[in-house]
Amino acid sequence: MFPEEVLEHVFSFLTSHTDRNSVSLVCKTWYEMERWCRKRVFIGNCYAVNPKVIIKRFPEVKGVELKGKPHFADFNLVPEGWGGFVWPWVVEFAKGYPWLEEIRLKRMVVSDECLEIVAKSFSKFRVLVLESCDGFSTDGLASIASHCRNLRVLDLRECEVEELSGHWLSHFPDSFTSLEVLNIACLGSEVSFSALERLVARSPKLKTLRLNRTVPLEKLSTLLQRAPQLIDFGTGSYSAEIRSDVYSSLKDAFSSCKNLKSLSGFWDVTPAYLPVVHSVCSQLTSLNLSYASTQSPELTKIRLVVLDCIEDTGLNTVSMTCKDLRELVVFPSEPFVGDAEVQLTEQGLVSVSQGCSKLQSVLYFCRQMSNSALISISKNRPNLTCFRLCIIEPTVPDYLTLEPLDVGFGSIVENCKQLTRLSMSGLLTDRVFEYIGTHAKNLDMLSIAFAGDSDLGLHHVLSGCDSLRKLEIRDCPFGDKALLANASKLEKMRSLWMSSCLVSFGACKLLGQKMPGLNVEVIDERENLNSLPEYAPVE
Amino acid sequence: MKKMMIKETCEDTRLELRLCPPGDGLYSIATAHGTGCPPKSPMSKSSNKRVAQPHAVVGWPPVRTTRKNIMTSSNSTKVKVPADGRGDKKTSPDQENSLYVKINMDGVAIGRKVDLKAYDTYQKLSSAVDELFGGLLAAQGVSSFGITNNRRDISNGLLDGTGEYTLVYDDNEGDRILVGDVPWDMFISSAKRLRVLKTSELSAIRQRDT
Repeated sequence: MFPEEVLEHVFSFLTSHTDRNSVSLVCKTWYEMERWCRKRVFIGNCYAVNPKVIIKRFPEVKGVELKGKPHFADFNLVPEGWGGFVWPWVVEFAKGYPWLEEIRLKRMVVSDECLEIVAKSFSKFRVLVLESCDGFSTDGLASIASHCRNLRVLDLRECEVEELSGHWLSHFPDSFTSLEVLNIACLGSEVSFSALERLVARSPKLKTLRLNRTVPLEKLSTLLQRAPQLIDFGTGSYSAEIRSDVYSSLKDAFSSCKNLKSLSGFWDVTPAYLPVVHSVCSQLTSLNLSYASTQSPELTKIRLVVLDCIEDTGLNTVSMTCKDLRELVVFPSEPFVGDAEVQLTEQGLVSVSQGCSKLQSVLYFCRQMSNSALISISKNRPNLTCFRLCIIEPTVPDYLTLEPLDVGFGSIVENCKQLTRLSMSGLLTDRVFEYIGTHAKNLDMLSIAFAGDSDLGLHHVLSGCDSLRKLEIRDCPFGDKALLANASKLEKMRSLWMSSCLVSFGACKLLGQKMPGLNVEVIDERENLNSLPEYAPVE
Repeated sequence: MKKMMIKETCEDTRLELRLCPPGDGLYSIATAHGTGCPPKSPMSKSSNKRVAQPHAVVGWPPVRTTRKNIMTSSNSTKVKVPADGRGDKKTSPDQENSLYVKINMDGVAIGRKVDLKAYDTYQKLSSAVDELFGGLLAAQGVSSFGITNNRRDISNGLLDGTGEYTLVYDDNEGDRILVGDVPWDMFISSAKRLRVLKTSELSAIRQRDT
């Protein structure tokens, strides 16, 4: 047995939450030791545990990460007011963690009052990351700016903010110089540019700056000149009249950013201005052009996010030039139009899978797919860890053979043995789930829509996928049988979402009774015993 | 901890998904448990008949709202004008080249929405306002002359302060401004909502400005 000091020292090297959780299960001594030295706690489902319990178990925590609403909330499938309120947590933290330094929230409802409490309760507060959150306004941001003297990170990722005024930025006092990350890309309204400029000028440690769309291109060089040390930069609107003075000052500003690794923003691109970034392209590892409806890049990246305007030809270029590419994301420029004008098909993805040997992660929106393409992709890239394919119209078959895409996705799970995340689309029968249950042993998260024929499909997944923790299903004919038969599996998962399936209210009640450790929730507008229930999140 | 919560959503047709036209499809399957593989029929129906409107399904394709309007009207060949003159169609969030803002009128309980990108001059907007509210006003029986159902022309003097009503807008900084002061393009890029106010209530402002 090692003395406690040694154990504690060893534990200090464990940063992964999974490792820390495992360590705490070894024996009582380790549990006690570990809980006293855990500095960061991650709660993947805010309804899984009571905040008081966390505070009691982990008294020395400096950073908390919480997730609230289910993933499908991003696509308007979760009703307003469902939950995910961070208020009860913040109230407890204010009492139990006066030295709290970091709060990271995802898909939670954060009110201005919450932000005010955060601003005033934690004198050492340094990091606020809000991802896909809503419920607050620029007044809340003003509280944070006014009171958090040691703030290093203010990162608003795709939040919905009520924008009452652009002057909240001015609330950072003149003596405030510690900012390292500022991401306001999600704000729709103007922020005071002069306040922004002064803030950037007095933040020598600023590494990440992501502007919002309202910052005009003409003003970009002013900001960049004040922050040549930036590593991650997001432009505002990238369109302006073509003027040589603007062009050259932008070019100079970009070339003086020797440490730039990531570029994003690029709303409303005027293509003539794109070459100003060429000087930094070779050093970029991440390029997000997903708001730029042009065809551009010949740029070497590790992570590339684009619109389908890049077309198959653009992706072919990527496959030949971006040899270090690890992650490819292709969003649809016109997701709600039936017939696309862009020439982006399965071929683009196949090219990239052939040419980019390090490709691990794919999110791809397109309008047609074939089993043969999927098979090729799986054979080209057995190292894929994340494969998310969205064929825009639901239930379309293989466009060449008119068969379901079972065999194609089956090939993906069979060949890509390290696959941890999979999203499927197109015409799929129970067969694909049989393949998944048989082969996808490392799968952690699975998203299914408009697929399958019967409960057997769900049964294959729940009984076969040993590592599955997050499952989200919509519009599939899965019902009570598979759910109840695999009830014990649900306890090992973080969450299960089912909407517009065939699960009855009675089965939900039964599930709740059989498995007291689960949170079973039904969301339905009709209160009726035989009604079609929609939702079941699981601990 | 065992917890069972049953929530009633107050609104929400969003939760009732329909792949097929109303009265058809998934809902009827739900009440007929265990009858073979019913979903196949409506689903294969839709894949065969080449659904013209993939956006009819809630939350599909799974893109966030911020991505819905990327193709802005900067490219004029892509502008889609609504079929009829009225800019207040049931809003589908998938009309790429539209800019719907709320518009309220003094004395009318219900607000409307108008697509600013459907017009290119203030005159046309003014006529649209008349179309939107004229009928509602008449229906409410509001008339200073005691005559009900008498449809009045709201657009008359709407933009120059000589009419019974005046059109104003709230801009992106939260200020309220008289419509017509700036070039049209600048107006639509900053207007967040419109209001049709009684001119008599603006008289204080007018006096200050003249």
